[in-house]
Amino acid sequence: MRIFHGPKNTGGMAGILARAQRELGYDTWSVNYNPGNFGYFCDQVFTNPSIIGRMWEWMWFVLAKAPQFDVFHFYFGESLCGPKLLDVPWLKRMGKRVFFYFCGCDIRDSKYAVTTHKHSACANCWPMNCSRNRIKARKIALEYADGIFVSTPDLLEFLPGARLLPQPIDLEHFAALSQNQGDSAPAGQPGVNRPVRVAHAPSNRAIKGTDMIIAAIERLRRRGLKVQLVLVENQSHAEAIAASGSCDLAVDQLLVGTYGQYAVEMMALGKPTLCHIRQDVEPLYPQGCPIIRTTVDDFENVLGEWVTHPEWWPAAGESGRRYVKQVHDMYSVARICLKAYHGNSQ
Amino acid sequence: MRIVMVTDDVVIDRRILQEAETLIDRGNEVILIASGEKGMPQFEWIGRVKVERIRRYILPPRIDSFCAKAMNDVRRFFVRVGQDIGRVIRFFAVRTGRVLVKLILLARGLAWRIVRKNALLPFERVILDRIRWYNPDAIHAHDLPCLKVSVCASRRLHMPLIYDAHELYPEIDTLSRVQKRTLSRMEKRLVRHCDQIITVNPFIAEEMAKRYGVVEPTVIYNAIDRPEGFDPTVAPNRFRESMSIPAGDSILLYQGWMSKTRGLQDLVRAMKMVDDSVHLVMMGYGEARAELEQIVREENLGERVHFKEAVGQDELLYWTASADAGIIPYQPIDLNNYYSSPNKLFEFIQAALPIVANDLPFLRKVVAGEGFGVVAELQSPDQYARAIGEMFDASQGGPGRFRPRLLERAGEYNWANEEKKISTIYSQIGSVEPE
Repeated sequence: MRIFHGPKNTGGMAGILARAQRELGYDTWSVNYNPGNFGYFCDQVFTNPSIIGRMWEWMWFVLAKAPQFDVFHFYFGESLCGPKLLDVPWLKRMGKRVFFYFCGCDIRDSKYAVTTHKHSACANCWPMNCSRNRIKARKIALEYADGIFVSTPDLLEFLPGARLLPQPIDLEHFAALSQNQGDSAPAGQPGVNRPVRVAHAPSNRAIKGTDMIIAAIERLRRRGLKVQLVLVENQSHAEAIAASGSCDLAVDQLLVGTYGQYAVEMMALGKPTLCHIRQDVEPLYPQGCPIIRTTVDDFENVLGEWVTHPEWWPAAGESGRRYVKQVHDMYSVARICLKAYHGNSQ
Repeated sequence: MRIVMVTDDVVIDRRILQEAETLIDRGNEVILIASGEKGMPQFEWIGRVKVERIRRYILPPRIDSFCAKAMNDVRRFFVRVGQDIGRVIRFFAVRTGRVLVKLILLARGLAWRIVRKNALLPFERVILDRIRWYNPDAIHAHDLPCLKVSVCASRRLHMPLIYDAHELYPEIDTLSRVQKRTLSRMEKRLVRHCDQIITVNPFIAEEMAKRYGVVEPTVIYNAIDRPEGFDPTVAPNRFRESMSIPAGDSILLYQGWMSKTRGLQDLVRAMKMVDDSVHLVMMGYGEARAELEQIVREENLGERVHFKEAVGQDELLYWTASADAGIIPYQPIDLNNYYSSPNKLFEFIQAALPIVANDLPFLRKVVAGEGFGVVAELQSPDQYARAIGEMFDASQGGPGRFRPRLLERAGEYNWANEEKKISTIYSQIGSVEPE
């Protein structure tokens, strides 16, 4: 079975899953049409600077290499032809198996999110970040896909029959990255006289509730707490992990209602991680999820508590590591996909 | 529910934002598609309202900008030729350039006339595409220029449409007779497709019902609420302090756009005939300001006629309340103005400011009908002077005689009253839970 992952590499997931499945003995290949700024690993990235060169790269890949694959695992609502998804019916006619993995704005109905939930990332998101082909991608996926995955449980309501596929993380690679954490001695320890550092890495400030986080930390500082926000933005993935790794606590997001890739990575680093988890999606997460629950309304108090109790951090950090190893390890996630490729959804 | 509002305003009218905020207060999401100009951001927040700006094109954007560029290039070329070659040649060169520019404009006009009258213009197609992308539950069209595309969107996407007529648009004075006839027919044809029609006062509502054979539109005034902490019984002194007006003197306030057609020239001239203890403050900006300043100089009124820049909405009422009376001199230059219900009327009411108003139907109904001030014909400086004199006549009690009534009745003319009507409108189309 030859497996294709791509053509978008959101959060590095295509590259990670392809590598994990390869190490499990399968013939896989990951492709990224647009490399972006974060430098996530992928087997093949289209980097030709000229438009004609990129077109040629694409045509060569689609016509010569793509037909050799048996399984196509598409990400973020795009296929070999990009957002138009014109190739999907033809792949099915050729007997290929097609899977979609949706991650957020590629499928979330912002209108529903805003009008249904008191707080939502979509209410703050302007201009609307939703994928232009959201409705088409949903239609094509429901009609043609052999399986649909979503990275967070809040997306299940938009795709009947979809399955939660946790965000994969390469723990070995992560262990190597986390060696470069700089001054990582936790605050509050004897001999360590610095403010408590709180990491937050928004890919989009409006969606993650960054302004609310900044305001809450400022209020904590005015109350006399020694706390400092480390805002990690516009950096490569490796740089972002290094900067976040030197912090004591992490905040993922306050508005979406589920935890994202950054929370997974912070838990893998053993950092107690705060995030808003919507009540209705709680039961959909595996038991024992160690995310520190918080909301827009109580974030300042919850963070204040964790800042003033460094004795809680080691246990929370260890729980996070265990949880990530159990749920998000790339081999576990890769096996879930492989079962689905073989036609076993359970 | 998600509501898309459409307007061709560049400076967004206060009414639109108030309606939007009211709907947001009731749990809705409001996206406003407005007009934009060069240099303006395409997306922005105004309060809690999401705003997208679309620039208007007559032709497809590339062709339209090509025409604009061509006109500029032609002008510059012929001016340069004229400058280089001499006065005689310049005379012909500049005129040739003007002729070519006019030909380009004519070609542009013919190009879009070839398209069927009912077809959407390029920028309207952009608006339709954006409405489709936002996938709202209701569309709210502000004023006639947005009605065609809104009706189109409403019919294609099968969603309710609310038409909010801020003006009696086909009667606007600057339109030619042909334009008025065309727009009137267009409005008559399009209002039939609206689920709800709103307008700004009962006179325009009645006129629209009579013209178009529709149920009389719901009236929602351009009222405002007082800002938190504002006390209308405590008059600030901002004008006196900033303009060194003596404490014993009185202040008559005009606030708003200084238009050439609002009778402001006669108002300023009238101050010559008004008691020396009465000062006139003109607060705002506009095309007539330079002319008014000239009149002040010619009539030697610099000590008693003062100009002040416009202030933000958040501090407007504090300045308004710093005067002793306000004046609304709108002239009946067209039927739209004749039936007008200007924003400043409601601002004056909330500031408990006695009002001198021209004798127009709605102003008479409110100002005279409620006892808020003096209503009189304001067509000449003499008439202005008499009305102002009557307002400030100490033997009758001066402006203060109207304040109790203003304080008593202000609650009938605030936004809190009007926003209930918005909720009712939307609950009738199923978009909002009724109050």
